[in-house]
Amino acid sequence: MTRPANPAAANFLGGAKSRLLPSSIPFRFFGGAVFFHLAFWCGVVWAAAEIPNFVIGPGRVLAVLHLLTLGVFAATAFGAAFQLLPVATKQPLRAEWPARLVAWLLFPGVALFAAGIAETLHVPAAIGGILSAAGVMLAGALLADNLARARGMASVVAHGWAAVASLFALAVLGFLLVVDQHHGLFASRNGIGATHAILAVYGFMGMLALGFSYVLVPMFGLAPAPPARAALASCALAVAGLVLGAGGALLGEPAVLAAAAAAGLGAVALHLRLMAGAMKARMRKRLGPSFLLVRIAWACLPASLILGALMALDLWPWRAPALFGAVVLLGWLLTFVLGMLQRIVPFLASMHASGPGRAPPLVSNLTAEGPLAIHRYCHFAAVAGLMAGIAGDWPIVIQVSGAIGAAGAAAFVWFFVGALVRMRNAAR
Amino acid sequence: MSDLVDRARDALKSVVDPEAGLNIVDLGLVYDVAVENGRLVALITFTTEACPVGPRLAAEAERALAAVAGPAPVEIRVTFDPPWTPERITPDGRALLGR
Repeated sequence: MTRPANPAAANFLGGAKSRLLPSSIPFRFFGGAVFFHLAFWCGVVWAAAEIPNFVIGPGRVLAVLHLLTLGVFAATAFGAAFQLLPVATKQPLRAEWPARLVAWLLFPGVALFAAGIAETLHVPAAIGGILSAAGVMLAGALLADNLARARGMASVVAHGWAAVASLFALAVLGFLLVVDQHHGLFASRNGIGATHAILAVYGFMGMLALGFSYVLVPMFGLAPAPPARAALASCALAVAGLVLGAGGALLGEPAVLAAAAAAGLGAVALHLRLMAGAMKARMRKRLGPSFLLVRIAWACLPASLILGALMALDLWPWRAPALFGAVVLLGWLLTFVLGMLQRIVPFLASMHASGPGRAPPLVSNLTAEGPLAIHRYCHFAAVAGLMAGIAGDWPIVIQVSGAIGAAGAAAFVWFFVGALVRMRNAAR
Repeated sequence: MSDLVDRARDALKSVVDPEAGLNIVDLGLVYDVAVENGRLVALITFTTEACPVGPRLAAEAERALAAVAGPAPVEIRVTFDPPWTPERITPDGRALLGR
């Protein structure tokens, strides 16, 4: 028998028996995300009248948006990245306490910021903004340090770097927007705000979603990993799109924004082709309902770019910002994040329930299908209803959709708590 | 010696990937089992280099080998060369996956 040709593979085991962080680290982020998911939908009910015509600026809608972007998306991303990235890079986090500190900064920060920006209360908005920015920057530093020491998985690392660079940039812009609110730094905030949004959605979250998909989709489907070269090509196109998008937004150039969308569509087309290849080659026939969410998210991603390009070129001005927001944040990102989270949570719980001489319980035994089904139906109804309410400028429809979304989010809480309880029982 | 290797392969069937629901032999993660210089060695891989459960599977595989090796030392070697592909799943494994 030959010795492994790749010494990194041997060191994978030799360095540490387990690459698992203590369960409290990823689960605190996932738990926070699940809570803020519920808060977001309640916020939709509360801000319903202002949603259809929202473009930019402080108020209820911006507050509710940040419950979603920071409280749900960033929290999920940090929880997943702190656990998955060290395994992909074969380098452990330098220390665990910074990861814990990120949660302590982020969650109170999001709550304070949202409360402050909703009612234009300067002090809580500023304190919340500072805390959130500090948490985000610390998370970025942790991830950057891990990426800098990476060995292997070039496509995941490349996406990781693009995500982290976007994270630092959006955090700085976000902080400047908070300062501008009180001290008037900029003649016009629109370009800064649009750049902040592009980097948050397509930069940080988008690049992480694409990069980790190259690991998670084959893993869940028992499929071969997509070719790294093609994944890197998609990454390069996406980065080009991000640079064009940020530049176009800052300069207020519609043609540059449209070019950004085109580059983004190229990247997404390549990415989805690779995902389709993995799905076709998968050995696991039944992927479960979570992948219904993932597939719908995949369809909404290119749709969001097309809508964004039409909006930039003024070819679809009617309710465009709010509809675009709904498609990109809810149709794509939230649907994708929740689809993946309902696979990752029981998977991690299974690993933490095992121990010396105790095999891990099957993931299916830790997954409560009933609450997930309730969530799924409520999620689709809520997102569709919200889009219809925006299109028709019907606040009552938006309120009902928000209530349905909140019911689905409560079911998701039930699933999450159930997984934790089953993990604890299996570990005894 | 071949009896020990066979018993080792059977023992490795007790190691189950919790995500796939299959044991690592039927999943095709066990590339080779051999006795080298009196040491029972298994060469294994994971479905992906980024699999968080990989080290746990390797530790369980080590315990499974130790249970049949008697006084002989055991060793788990991990490789990603060649990388795992679904074609390595055994017919029994495919049947369980509905393929």
